[in-house]
Amino acid sequence: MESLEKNKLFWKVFFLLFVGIMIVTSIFAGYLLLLQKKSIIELLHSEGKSISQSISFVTSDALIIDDSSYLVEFNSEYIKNNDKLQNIIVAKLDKQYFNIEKKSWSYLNKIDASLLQMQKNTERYKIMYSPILKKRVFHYTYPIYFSGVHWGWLHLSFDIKDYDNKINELYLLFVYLFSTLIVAAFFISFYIANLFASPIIKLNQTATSIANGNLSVRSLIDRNDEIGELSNTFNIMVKNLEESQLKLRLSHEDLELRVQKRTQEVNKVNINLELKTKELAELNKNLDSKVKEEISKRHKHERMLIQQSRLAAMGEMIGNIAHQWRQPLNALGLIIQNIHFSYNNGVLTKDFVDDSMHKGVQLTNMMSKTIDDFRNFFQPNKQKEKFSLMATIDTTIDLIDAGFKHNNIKVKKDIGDEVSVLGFPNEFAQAMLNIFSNAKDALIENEINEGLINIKVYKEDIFGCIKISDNAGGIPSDIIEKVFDPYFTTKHQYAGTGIGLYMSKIIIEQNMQGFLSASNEEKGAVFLIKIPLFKDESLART
Amino acid sequence: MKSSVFFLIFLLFDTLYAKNIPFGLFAKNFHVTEKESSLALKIWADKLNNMDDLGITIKAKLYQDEEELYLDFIQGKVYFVSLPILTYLKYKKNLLKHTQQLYTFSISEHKTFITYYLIKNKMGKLNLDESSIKNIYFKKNESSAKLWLDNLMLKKYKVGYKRVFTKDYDLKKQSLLVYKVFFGKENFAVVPKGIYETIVEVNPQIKKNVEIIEKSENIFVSSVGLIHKSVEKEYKDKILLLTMDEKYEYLRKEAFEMSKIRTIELIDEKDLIDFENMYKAYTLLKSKVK
Repeated sequence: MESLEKNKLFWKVFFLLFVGIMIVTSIFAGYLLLLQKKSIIELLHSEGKSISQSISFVTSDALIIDDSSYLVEFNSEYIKNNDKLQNIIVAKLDKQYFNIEKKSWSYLNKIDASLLQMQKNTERYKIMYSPILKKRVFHYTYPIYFSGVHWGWLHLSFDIKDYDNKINELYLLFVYLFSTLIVAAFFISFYIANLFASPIIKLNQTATSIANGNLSVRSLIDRNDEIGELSNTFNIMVKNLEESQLKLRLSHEDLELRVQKRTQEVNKVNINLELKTKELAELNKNLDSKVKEEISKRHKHERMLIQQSRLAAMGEMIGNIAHQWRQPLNALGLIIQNIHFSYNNGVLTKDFVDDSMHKGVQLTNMMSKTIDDFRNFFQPNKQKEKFSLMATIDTTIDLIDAGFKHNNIKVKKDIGDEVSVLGFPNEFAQAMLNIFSNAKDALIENEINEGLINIKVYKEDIFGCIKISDNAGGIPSDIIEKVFDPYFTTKHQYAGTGIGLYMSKIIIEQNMQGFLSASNEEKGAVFLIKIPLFKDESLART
Repeated sequence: MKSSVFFLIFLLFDTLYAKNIPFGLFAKNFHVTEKESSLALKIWADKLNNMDDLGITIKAKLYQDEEELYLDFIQGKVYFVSLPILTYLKYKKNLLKHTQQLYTFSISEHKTFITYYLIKNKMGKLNLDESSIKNIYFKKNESSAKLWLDNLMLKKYKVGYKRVFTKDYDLKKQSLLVYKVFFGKENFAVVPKGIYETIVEVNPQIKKNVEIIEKSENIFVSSVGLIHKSVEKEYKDKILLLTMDEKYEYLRKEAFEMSKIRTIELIDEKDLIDFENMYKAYTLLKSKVK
C-alpha cells in the first residue's frame, strides 16, 4: 500500500478511472433527471390537453351563444372536482376573461402580459409564475376552435406541488446516488488501479534492481493474463541477460587475446603497407613521365596515321594523275609517231611540225594543269569558309572522273537548290574523294558492269545533306558497324590502309560539326553526310 | 369449521330478522338532478346497511309522483318521507295523523328556513312596461320561490309574476340564478339567501352588478319530512342519530354533498304556521285578482 501511495502510475490510473466514472455517471444521471422532468411536464401537458378538450367540448355551445353563466358555472364545478387544477381562465376573443379558481371566480377585462404571450394558434405550456395565483404553476394554454372558427383560449394552471415533490425526490435520489457513486467509484477505481498498476510497479522495482546490476532478482507476479506472461517473459529476458553477460565476459576475455594477436598481425601488415606506400610513391613519381611517354606515343601514332593518310592520298593522287595523264600521253605518243612517220615518208613539213608541237604543248600544258589541280586539292584549308556543296563535289568528281570512265562507272547527280555550308572545302573534298574511291573500288571488286554512283544534295533543317549511294551490293552487315574504325579495311593489304573512312568521319564530324553515317539500300551502300548550313558572314568569320 | 357454520347461520338470521325501514323521497325536492339524488340516496343507504350491529335495513326509493308517495306514507308502506311543502299543506290533516315527527333538509348551514331574494342586474328595471324585456329565473322544482314571487307581484302590481316578466326559466343549478343576473342586464332571479351569499363570497364582483330588490320572510322550507308513527322509537332515534350526529358525519358526508344538503333539522308543526298563513293569504289574493 505504501508503495502504491508513492507511485505516480497508480494515482494516474486511479484519478483517470475515478473522474471518468464520475463524469460518465453524472452526465447519465443529469440526462435522466432531464428526461424525468420532461416526462413529468409531458404528463402535465397531456393532462392539460385532455382537460382543455373536455372543457371546450362541453362549453362549446355556451361560447357560441355567449352564455357566460354556463361557462362560469361549469368551470366552477369542474375545477372543484380536479385537485391539480388551480385555475381556469376562459379568454374570449372580445377580451372578456373569466378567471375561475377553486373557491372563487372573477370577470376580468384584461390579463397579465405573460398570459397573453401564451395565446397563440397552437397550444403552449410551461412552468411559470402565475400572476393571478401568485405562485409557480404549470400553465397550459389551449386555443379553442369549433368548425375551424377560433373562439378564444383556455388557460389552465396546474399545481406543481407534485411536480416539485417528484423533482425534489429525484434531486435527493441523485444526491444519494452521487454519494454512493463517489464511494463506489473510489473503491472501484482503487481496485482497478491497483489491479493494473501493482504488477507494473513490481516489474518496475525488479527492473530497477536489474538496472542497478542485480541480475539475480526475478519478477514474482503470478497471473494468468498478459501481465503474467509479461512477467514470465521478463524473467526469461533477465535469465538470458544473465547468461549473455556471462558469455560476454568470457567472450571479452577471449576477445582481448584475439585483439592482441590481431594487433601483432596488423603491425606486420602496417610494415608491409609502409613498404607498399613507398613503392606507390615511387610509382606516382614515375607516372607523369609515363603519361607523357604515352601521349608522345599517341602523337607519334597520329602522325603516322596522318602520314599514312597522306601517303594513301598521294597514292590515290598519283593513280588519278596517271588516269588523267593516260589520254594525253597516248595523244602525245601518237603525235610523236606521226612526226616520225611523216619524216620517214618525207612529208614532214614545217606546218606539220608546228601543228604537232602546238598539240604537244597543249597536251603537256593540260597535264601540268592536272598536277596543279591535284596540288591545290590537297592543300588543307586554314579556316572555315562558306562553300557550295555541289561545286566542291563537281571538282572532286573531275579529279577522279577519268578513273570512273575507265571503269565504266556513271555518276548521276540529283541537285536541287544551291546548298552552301560552313567548313573546310578541301578537307570535305578529301572526304568525298575517299567515299567515291571506296564506291569505285567496290564496283570494280564486285565486277559490276554498269556501275552507278548517285549523288543527291538537299537541305534538311539546319543541315546541308549529301546522299551518296552505289549499286555495288552494299556493305556486309557484320562489318557495317566497323567501317569507320581506324585500320579497318576489306581490301587487300596492298590496296587499302583502313584509314580513309576514319579520316572522313574525323573531317566531317570533328572538324565541321556534321554527321557521317553508312547504311545499306537495296542495291548497295549509302553514305549520308550532314553539314551545318551557312547562316551569315559573321558566323562564317568565327 | 363448526364456528364458521354458526357464524353463517347467525348472519342469515340477522339478515332475515333485521328491521326494514323504507324511505320514500320525492325526486324533485332536491337542488340537484334526479340522477344525483338517486345516487346520493343509494350511497347513504348502502353505507348504513353495511354497518355492523345496526339492526335495521334501509330501503330507499325515489318517487317521481308526490301523490303516490303521500298514499304510500299514509298506508304505512314508507316510514321516512320527504314531500314538497305544498303537498304537505294540501294533505296536512291526514298526514299528521300518521306522523310522529317532522323534519326538513337545510341547504344552508344551521338555517332551517329559507329567505328568498329577488335580484336583478343593476342595469335592469322592474316595471310593468311591456316593451322592456325581463327574464325571470327560478331553480327547477322550487315551487315555493315561484309562490313567493307571485304573491309579491300580486301585492305590488296586482298581477301574477308571469305578466310582469317576459319569460320565466327553470334552471337546474342554483348558482346559475345569480350568474344569469350578473351577465344579463334584463335578467331577474329568485334565489335563496344562503345561495346568494355563498356565490357573492365566491365572487365579490357580483355585488357591483347585482342588486337585491326584494326579500322574503324567513319562513320557507325546501321540503317537509315526515316520520311515520309505525317506526319504533329505538329505530327512529338510531336513524336520527346516524343522520344528524356529528359523530356519524362520515357516513352521510358524501351523500349530502352530492345532493347539496347541509343538515337535517327537526321541526314542529308550529314552525310551518307562518308559511301556511302566507300561503292562505296568497291563495285568497290570487282568487281575488282573478
